[in-house]
Formats: sequence, C-alpha cells, structure tokens
Amino acid sequence: MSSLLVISRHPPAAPAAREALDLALAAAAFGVPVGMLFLDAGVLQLLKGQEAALIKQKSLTANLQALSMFDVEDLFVCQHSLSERGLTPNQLLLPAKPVEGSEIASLLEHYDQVVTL
Amino acid sequence: MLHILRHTPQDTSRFASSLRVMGPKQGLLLIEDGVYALLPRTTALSALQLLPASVRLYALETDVIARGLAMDDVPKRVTLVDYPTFVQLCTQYDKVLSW
Amino acid sequence: MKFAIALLAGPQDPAARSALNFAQAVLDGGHQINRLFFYRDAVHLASNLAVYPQDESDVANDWRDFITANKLDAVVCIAAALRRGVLNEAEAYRWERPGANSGKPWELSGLGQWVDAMQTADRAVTFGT
Repeated sequence: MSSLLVISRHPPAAPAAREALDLALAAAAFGVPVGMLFLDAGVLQLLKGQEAALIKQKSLTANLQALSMFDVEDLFVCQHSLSERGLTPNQLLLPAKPVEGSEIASLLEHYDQVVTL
Repeated sequence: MLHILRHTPQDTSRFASSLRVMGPKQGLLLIEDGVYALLPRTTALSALQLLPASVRLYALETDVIARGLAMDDVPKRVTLVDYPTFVQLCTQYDKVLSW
Repeated sequence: MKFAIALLAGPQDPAARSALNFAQAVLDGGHQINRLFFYRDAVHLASNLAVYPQDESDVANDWRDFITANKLDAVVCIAAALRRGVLNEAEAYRWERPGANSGKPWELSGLGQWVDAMQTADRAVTFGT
C-alpha cells in the first residue's frame, strides 16, 4: 500500500518537523512506497542554507538528504505555497517537483493512504 | 476521499489548502475548531458555499453545539453528523485525509 | 473494516477526546481497531502522573479504561515519549532516571508500528494533526 505524507505545518525550527520526516524514513525502511508533498509552512523545511545549529536545533538537512538513500524519490512541493512565501524551486535543497492545486488533487487520489503531519 | 478539517479557518492556511485541492465528489467533514468555518457572514463560509454541489459537506454536531454556533445559521447543504455517522463516512469514502 | 487510529495531539487538545469518541464508535459500529498509535504530544496520555481537578474530565484515564476494556494494542512512539519524559520501568532503568510514569496498557515501541498498522488497515485515520 503506497502512502503520501503531506508535510504541511511545521517550519524547520519546530521539533515536529523532524518527527514528520522520521515517519517518512520509517515507512521507507519498511519498504512502503512513500511520496512526500511539502505544503504551506512545510515548504520552509526545504530552504537551502539553513544553519540550525546556531539556535541549538538539530539540522533537518541530513534527514532530508537521507530520503534518496531510502528510495524516497517522489517529492512534491506546492507551487502556491512557494509563491506565497516568495520562493522559487531553485532555492530548495531537494529536487522536489512543483505542483499546482489540480495536480495535488490527483496526487492525493493516486496514493492508497495520505497522512498529514 | 473524505477531508477532515479540525483547525479554525481564520487562523491557519489549512482550510484554504484543503479547499484548493478538493476534488469533485469528495467530502469535507468539519470537526473541533473546524466548525468555525460555519460562522455566518465569514469569507470561510462563502468559500464553502462556492464549492461544487458534488462536494458533500458535513459537520460534527456536538462540536458545533459545544462552541455555541447557532443551529439556525448552519447552511442547508451541511449535514450534521454524530460519531457513528463519522465512522460510516470513513467507510464510504475510499480514504481519509486529516488536515 | 479494520481501522488504524493515530493521535498526534496531547491531553490538553480536544483531539484527544475526539479520537477516543471515534474509536469507541468504530467498535460500536462492529468494526475493528488493529492498532492505536500515539505520536508527538499524544505520548503524554501514557503518563500516569497527571492529576486533574475533580470537576474536569481525565481523558488519559478514559483512554486507559477504553484500551484495557477492549484489549486493544496501544503503541506509544518510544522516541517521542523519551523526549517528553514518558518512561516505563524498562526505559527508566535503561536511562537511569529516578522513576517510571508509564506502564500497562501502553506499549513503548517504534514508528514502524504505525507504518505496519497503516499497511494492514482498511482505513487509517489521524487525529490531532
């Protein structure tokens, strides 16, 4: 059964952001086909050049980069959420595919289960 | 697919996001603070009313009453449900997405 | 139908009560719950140290009664629990902490248990997102 994780709320400094990524890695470790969609404030997790250590936070970058090692390669980012924040796809540290509202609707239909974190 | 929204539409972008990706024939169930989308004369309620008629709208009745929303203000197209019906909806739609 | 139910919000959030009402309705409707999974702040429900004034409802206690009465599999994410100071005897001993505040019916285990529950359920429903 394939699962789509929608990472929607937590900017990278929130500990919950890491707990969301942990679920993706756990699912991948169990061989579950998993996709990830970064939406709303969740897109901020993908911003390049984060120095989380300066505020005593563990960097998410390593976890994000581990995704490809676990074969989590279906990464999507909401174009609307990027635009709202004045961001463009080339500012992201992962090659996530920008998707619009109707494409997101079909993504949600495509996966067997969808979990928002 | 059944979308479940539990956050106040006025405070978070989840309400707007859920509407943006809502497909035809899907359902939206308002629970907890999500029922504040039913407050009259709000942009949230107008946005709900603008959804295609094929999108079914539901709200958890206890959460509506608990928060002091007037039942008379609940639009006709919104079906008020209890927990057993909430469970039934989850079985009727092929999957559930909590916002 | 088999339901996997996850709760992400803590005892102070209305979601803790919604999820319990939903779980009860699932069983009353003749369906099964293959696992309950408690993640993020929901792990606080597994602490047996919270004290509520008499006129407030103790949602953690209600969960405990529900899980015990229906012999359900209630898994608490171990990493999230340790981080928030929710420890059973084994973990308190392992990490040399002065006491344990969790135990039966809760089981501390990994996120894989949630993944596994979603794989074997007909419906996965998350509360407290």
